[in-house]
Amino acid sequence: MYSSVGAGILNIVTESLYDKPIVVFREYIQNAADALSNVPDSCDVKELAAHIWIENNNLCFLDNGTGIEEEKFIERMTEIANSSKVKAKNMGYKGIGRLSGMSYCKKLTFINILDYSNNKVQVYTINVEKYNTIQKTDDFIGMTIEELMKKIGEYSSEIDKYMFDFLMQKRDLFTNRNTGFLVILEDISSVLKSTINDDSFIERLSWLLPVPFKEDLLLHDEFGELFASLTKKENDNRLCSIPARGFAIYYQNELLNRPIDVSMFRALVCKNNFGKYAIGVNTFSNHKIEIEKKNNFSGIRIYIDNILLCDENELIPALHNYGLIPHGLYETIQTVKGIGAIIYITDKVNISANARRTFIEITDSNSIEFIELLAEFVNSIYEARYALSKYFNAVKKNDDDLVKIETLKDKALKSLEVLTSDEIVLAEEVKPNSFEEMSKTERQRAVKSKISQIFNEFLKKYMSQTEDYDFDSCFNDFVVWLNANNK
Amino acid sequence: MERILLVEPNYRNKYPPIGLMKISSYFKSRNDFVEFRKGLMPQKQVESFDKVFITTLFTFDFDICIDTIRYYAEIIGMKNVYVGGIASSIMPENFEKKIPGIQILKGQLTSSKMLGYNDDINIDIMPLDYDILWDIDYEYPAADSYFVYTSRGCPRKCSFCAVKTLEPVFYECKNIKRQIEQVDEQFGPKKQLLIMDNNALNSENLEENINILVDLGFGINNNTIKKNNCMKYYLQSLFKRIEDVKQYTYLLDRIKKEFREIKKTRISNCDRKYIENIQGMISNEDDSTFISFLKENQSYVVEFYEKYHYHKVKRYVDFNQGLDARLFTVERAELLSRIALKPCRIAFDDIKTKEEYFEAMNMALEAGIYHFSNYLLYNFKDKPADLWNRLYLNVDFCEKNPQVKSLFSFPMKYASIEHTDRSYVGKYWNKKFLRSINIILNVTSGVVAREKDFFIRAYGENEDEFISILTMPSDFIRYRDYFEKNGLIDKWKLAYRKLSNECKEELLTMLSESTNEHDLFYEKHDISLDNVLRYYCIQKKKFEKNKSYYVKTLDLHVK
Repeated sequence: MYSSVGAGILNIVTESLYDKPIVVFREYIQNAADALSNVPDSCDVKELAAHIWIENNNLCFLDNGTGIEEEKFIERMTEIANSSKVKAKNMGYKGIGRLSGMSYCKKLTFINILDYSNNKVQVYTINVEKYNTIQKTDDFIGMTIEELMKKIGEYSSEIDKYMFDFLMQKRDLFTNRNTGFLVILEDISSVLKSTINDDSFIERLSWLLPVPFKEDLLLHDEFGELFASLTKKENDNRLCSIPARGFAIYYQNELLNRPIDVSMFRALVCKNNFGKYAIGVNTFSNHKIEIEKKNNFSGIRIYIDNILLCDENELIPALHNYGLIPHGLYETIQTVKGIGAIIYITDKVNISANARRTFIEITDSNSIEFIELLAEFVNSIYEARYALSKYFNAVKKNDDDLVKIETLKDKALKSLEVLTSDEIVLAEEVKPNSFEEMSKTERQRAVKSKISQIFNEFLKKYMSQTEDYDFDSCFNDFVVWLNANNK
Repeated sequence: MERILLVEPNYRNKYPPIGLMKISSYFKSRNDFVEFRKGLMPQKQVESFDKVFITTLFTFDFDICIDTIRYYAEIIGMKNVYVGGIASSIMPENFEKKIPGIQILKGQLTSSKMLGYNDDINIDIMPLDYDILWDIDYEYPAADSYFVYTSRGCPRKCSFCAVKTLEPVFYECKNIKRQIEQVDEQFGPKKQLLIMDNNALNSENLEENINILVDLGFGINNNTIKKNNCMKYYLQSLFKRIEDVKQYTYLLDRIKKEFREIKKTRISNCDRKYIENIQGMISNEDDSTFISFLKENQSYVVEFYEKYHYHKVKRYVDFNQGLDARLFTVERAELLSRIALKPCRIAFDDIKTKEEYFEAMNMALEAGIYHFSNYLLYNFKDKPADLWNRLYLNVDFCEKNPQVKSLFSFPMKYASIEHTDRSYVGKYWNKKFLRSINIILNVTSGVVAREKDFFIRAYGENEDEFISILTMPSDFIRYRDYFEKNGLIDKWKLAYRKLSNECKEELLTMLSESTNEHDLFYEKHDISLDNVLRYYCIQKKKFEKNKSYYVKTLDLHVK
């Protein structure tokens, strides 16, 4: 069937769909996670793992999952977009992800470990350099994908010593397991290297991949139960998948965890539902919705199969394009960064990622309904930000209009309630009568702020009353005016 | 010699401070040193003055007046500060309460004894000293005008008007010719003649006054003059200031501006060279070099501007305070038609005076007066529908009388003199309506023109539509075309029409009480208002950023 497809398809798949280097990690770990998920329940989960490591400019992905059935290996390796995976069950199902590494290395090798103890493997190698050369020739035009794969791909049932060494390095993985899969990206490009060498790379990887929550978080007295509940399939039949199913994924032998800990939580941590489509956890302040500079648990992250699909930088523009956001793009992005939220898509039948895995596929009423729910959530954050600000400013200014205060309070509560099903209590500590209880520094700050506010009001008024200035004595003139009008 | 400082608080106003201009003339006639300021003057400079005279105008500018008075009193002592003008004459108690010991000069300055001088000069009839306007940077929009009175006071005692307090007795001035000639002598001819009478038609000397105006070059056929050569008067003032050691910064700026704005295409090659030299001097040399040059070349500069301003201008008479329709007669209308009256302003303060107003309009029209204007008081005892009717009747009058060349209606919002701000709301009005009127008027700089189609579009086809327009979301009124094109106004109308009368009242109450109608939808409200309140969230700026959000939300809701 694929013989009618031109070789140019490979270019579209490799260069257009995977234009960000970090997605390579997502694609190979997604395949690894699928293979680990397919291991029969009788196997001890603790023994299942995936490793990522870099060595001599080669990037390796190894898992001890089920691998690929021996007789289907060649077919799987040479076909494009013809996956046998099931959308609702598996993470990857489009059959193109394994080629994502082609843009970032000179040689791409897939080793299907059929019997680790007896060194029985199947190897398929794609010579990327050769592909790059052919691509530039006239022969490429009119070439079918099958013809191309024959030219650049090579099958073998044996591995050389070099590859054997790779496998031996991780022999602990195969103490009780005998199958698995290894992907090697040989001689990776400088673009991929610079991504890996970035200081925030491990943090990014930990947010991206389907890794578990930290043990401390899951055992925490107050929040443990909430996060643990995300790692199990709920009793609700409508939910198709476990929201936050984590796998033991190691990078350079270090176990990766979702980088969330209790210190990142704001005053409230709540669970919320997005209809039948998704479930979320978010943390926000009941006082001020503002960006906390050093807190990386900020903004909105959407996960599908516990793999990061997008964050607010992709979500908000998408909602905006669909006409679901009433406020400015930049302002809305900045606003949602004032809370921390993770949303897990659980209804994989109706909601799926687009080909680039940057957002969901908007194809039917279900997906439209889902993005409307997301927009409602985003708009609620925006409303909450301003409602809180208005209420607490009124309280701070000691506004005598109690009806106004009550209305603002009501509005603030209402806006926060949309973000959660929990009962909300607004922060108390900013009420003006707390001055006596403040620390010395807090008092200084409060007094400074009050004087500065009053001073600015006077200065503004003074400036509106004069247009004749004496630069040398301007402050003195202002003080005279101030004295005259404040006796 | 006393040093006198004249001050007008730094509020924005159209007309120069006539009272202070007269006081200036009085003190200058005594050879005293006089300087004028708008707003506050730096302390060191204030200390050099013996007395400060501060004027006040609108009662709603009360706060800025108080701050200004206190500032000067703090520096040179309360006993040397004198406060006068309209606001302090109308509500002296308010000023006294805020500033105990304040010296208020109530009403007109009919004798210099009121200032403690024994020469008993009637300062109120002194000529206006336009020279003080060159002491400051501020440009009064109406500065190029004569401000004259043929009479003071008004026999009517309308409850909304402050004249009965300010000028309780009606009397004739009988010095109109002198007033104009003095200005001509000292400052050259002005463009407009603003007759500031409160009730000019009540004058027994109307015919005589009209004859004088015609003789002075304000007749219907002799109102063309050569443009005034301001430079001549600027230079005279500049050299006098230097002699008196008085500041001339702003005057020098005016002179420089005149040179900079010369259109070179209008001058000869010979002059061009000269003028370019002067312009270069302004940019590159210090002020003293420029002033020396002006001194040495004064006659050339004056002659040059005499040539440069060769063109002629038409000037007009304006009874600025409006004419009393009830006092119009055929004879008086004919008298008025002899002068270059533009516009003929007739007060139409109450719908009940409709007949008198249109009788007056017809008389004026019959007499050959074709440019009109009116004052329409609103937010007083009238209803919003009354305002619509008065506006409509004027537009209709124009349609029926095509010989009318112009008719501008000026709705004037009543502000109670008991209020020291602009917050007064009349019995039948509310804050939302007042805001909406403001928005509509802002589009046309405060006037309503004669074109019927424009009027109907802006104010509605009938009283009900007018009320509906006033109730609309602010941005819908402001950007009518935009929101009409995208259909939102129609949708709002549909939702509004569906409301019961009680709900409409409730909506208006909410809109009036709110300072920010965009937020109302999110505040507690009757569920039946939901449909209409959501339109008030819409602001054009935000709407443009994401049209589909609103259209979608509203569509969903309408369905």
